[in-house]
Amino acid sequence: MNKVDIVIAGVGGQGNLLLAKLIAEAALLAGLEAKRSEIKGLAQRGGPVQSLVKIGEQVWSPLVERGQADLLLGLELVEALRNVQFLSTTGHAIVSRNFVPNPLPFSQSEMLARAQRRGFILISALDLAKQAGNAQSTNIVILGAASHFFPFGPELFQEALRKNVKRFLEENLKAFQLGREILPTP
Amino acid sequence: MESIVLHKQIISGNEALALGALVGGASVITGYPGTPSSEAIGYLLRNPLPGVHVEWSTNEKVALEIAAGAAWAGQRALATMKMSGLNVAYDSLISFAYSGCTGGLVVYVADDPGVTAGMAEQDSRGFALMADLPMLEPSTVEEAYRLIPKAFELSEKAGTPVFVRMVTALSHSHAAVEVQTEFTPLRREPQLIRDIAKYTKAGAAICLAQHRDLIQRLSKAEEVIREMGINQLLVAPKRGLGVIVCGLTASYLEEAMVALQPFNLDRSGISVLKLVSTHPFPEQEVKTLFDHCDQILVLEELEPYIETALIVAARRSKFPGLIRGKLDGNLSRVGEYGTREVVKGLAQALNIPLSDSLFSGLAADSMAAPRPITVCAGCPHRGTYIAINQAIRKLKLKKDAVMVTGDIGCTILGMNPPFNTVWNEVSMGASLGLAQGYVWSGVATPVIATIGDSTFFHAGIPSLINAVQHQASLTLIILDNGWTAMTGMQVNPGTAIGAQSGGHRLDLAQIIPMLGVDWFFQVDPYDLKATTEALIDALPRAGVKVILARRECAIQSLRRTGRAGRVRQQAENCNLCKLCITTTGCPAISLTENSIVIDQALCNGCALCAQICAREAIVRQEG
Repeated sequence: MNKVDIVIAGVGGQGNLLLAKLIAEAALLAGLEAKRSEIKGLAQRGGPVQSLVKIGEQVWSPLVERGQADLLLGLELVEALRNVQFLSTTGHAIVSRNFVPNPLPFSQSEMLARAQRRGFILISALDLAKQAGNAQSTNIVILGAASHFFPFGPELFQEALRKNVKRFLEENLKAFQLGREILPTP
Repeated sequence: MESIVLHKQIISGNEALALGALVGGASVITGYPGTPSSEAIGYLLRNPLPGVHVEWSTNEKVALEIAAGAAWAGQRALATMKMSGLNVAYDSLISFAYSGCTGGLVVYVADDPGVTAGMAEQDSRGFALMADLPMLEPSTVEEAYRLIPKAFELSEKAGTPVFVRMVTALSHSHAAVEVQTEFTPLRREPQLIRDIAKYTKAGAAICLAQHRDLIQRLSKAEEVIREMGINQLLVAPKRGLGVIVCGLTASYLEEAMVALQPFNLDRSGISVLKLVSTHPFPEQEVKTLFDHCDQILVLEELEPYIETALIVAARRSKFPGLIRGKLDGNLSRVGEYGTREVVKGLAQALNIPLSDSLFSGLAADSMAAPRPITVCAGCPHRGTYIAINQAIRKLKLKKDAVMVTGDIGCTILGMNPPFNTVWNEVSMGASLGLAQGYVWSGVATPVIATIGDSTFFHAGIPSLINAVQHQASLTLIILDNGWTAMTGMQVNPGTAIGAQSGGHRLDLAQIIPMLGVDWFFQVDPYDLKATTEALIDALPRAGVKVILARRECAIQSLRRTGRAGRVRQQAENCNLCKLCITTTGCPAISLTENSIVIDQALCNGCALCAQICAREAIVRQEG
């Protein structure tokens, strides 16, 4: 089958679109088909951004139906919780502990508790990104952690990174590795 | 023989359209930004090709007229717009439809089912019906790329402008496509054809003849579409269900069939008509379906246009079977389509009992509410909205007694908390006309209209001229950020000269006083006091008053010249009154358990919060 439907949730400026692009590129390198799309209604800084990526032997529509995603990649807690409706009951959510406050009176600890109750795999992406040398690389940390759930090896993600990332390439490769090491190979 | 180099690239539907236009030899390409259509011109401006004129025009009507002029001169031309823009261009478009064209003219319109960009969820296929113009709808990114050259060919063979329509889910989706990397625009010797009967509407005889020609061109187009094999009819081995898919719904059908495989879906009894030309109606293919099927299911997003035409055709052909779709109440006319709707349609037609678990997911977290849509951190017009609210209060007026009409673009975000300044949103430029209506209806309090710079250039100027002519006493506030920002930072006539691609800049500060307004003020909305004072001065006056609130978009300014400044917190002065949050709503400011936190990565240093803070807990950092 090799089918993976992915929803990526975050807010503007977190590298959501790059993450979607890297996954699509890696899938193409693996000889699979890939489609991705993004929901960005307005060019608002800090606004919600959602990307959809579908990979497989054959991919038809660009959209992921609710309840169909195999992977939910969250770059931010609130957005991940909002997008959980896309996740299939057998899917995995790999989510950064990063919290961008919503003007609602809920704290990061409350959101973390909710994420834990839902079985999200929570990653301290910012800490790992800083450890890798670039605080902006949280998206790549998440990619590293998610890389266990794809029907191809990490080297294709690394190749996609080399092809698409010019600035902080070494730091990003390190971030990918640190993210990957956080989870055991399933 | 020329060899064509192909390169596999991941491109979006909009980019595929742009590249397809280059393959098709287009040499004049125009448009006005609008989600979800903007990236087509955006791509072409980033990758300029000698011999191809590409521009963001002042509005869609102008864009279309330029493209049509080029097509009348014999070139291949493309105009791009979102569905709302087609409404603007339609006056000219229908006239072009009746005249026809010589060079190929393609009009790209992007509809937005599901409404990602907050406008009427209209189905632009209705315009193709009214104008008797062919409309083509690709189903994939790759098909979009391959279809555009065919659209030009169809346009020239049938002598008619041709619509290409996409929806958000396609125009914003990306896929790997083998694309050409070098292009040769068809630069034909421009023709000047004087043909009054074709290119004017001078008298009933000419117009009636054009109407007859128009109908003929459409039936010619149907012939050409069939010859070119644009639609696909897959007749199943067995009699049974016929399915008509239009554009993108073809991809949902494939997925739905896969999803229904566990339910013993028998594909050998399902004939499929894959429509790329949703107009003209494919009479012949449909007749084949009538002969081969017991019932027909129509899968089309939004309005039931194909379904309606199919019912008419069924009646004329005495087709006895059931026609399923939206008119029988099964599928929805509202919202974005997806595999789920197609599964529902197929299951109903084939009596497949679905288990509840199919497509059931988890409920979204109730505590994870959508983020409020507000202006960016550092947006200059946060200052404008605050100033409007303060001026209304200082003039001892009640906020719910002062009409502030709104317009399209970022400026409409003034309707949201914490500002709650703007009352309404209609269409490009409508704020000024609406305001005049409130004035003439006898509203005694000041009437304010708000509009952005690009919107003012697009459709605001005629309405301002009208207000001046008729002396409608109102205050127009132009929230000038120098860019067409909300659609992704496109240039407009007022954009700074350094950012214009060789073009000229028109300065609103020079234009507006020339229009004969009674009072003209120019303010910097980062200066809250001065902006509020200008408003207090302007609002009670009689006559047409224009306040130009000018400061470059924070995102663009950050890219071009760096951040505006810095603020510093003096936490010991803070009494947690939260005015900085409740008045500015700035996304960079948040409240933790016992302090106000300013996210320095997001903060642009506009210092509006410092101007709001009464206790110097936030101050502008000098130097």
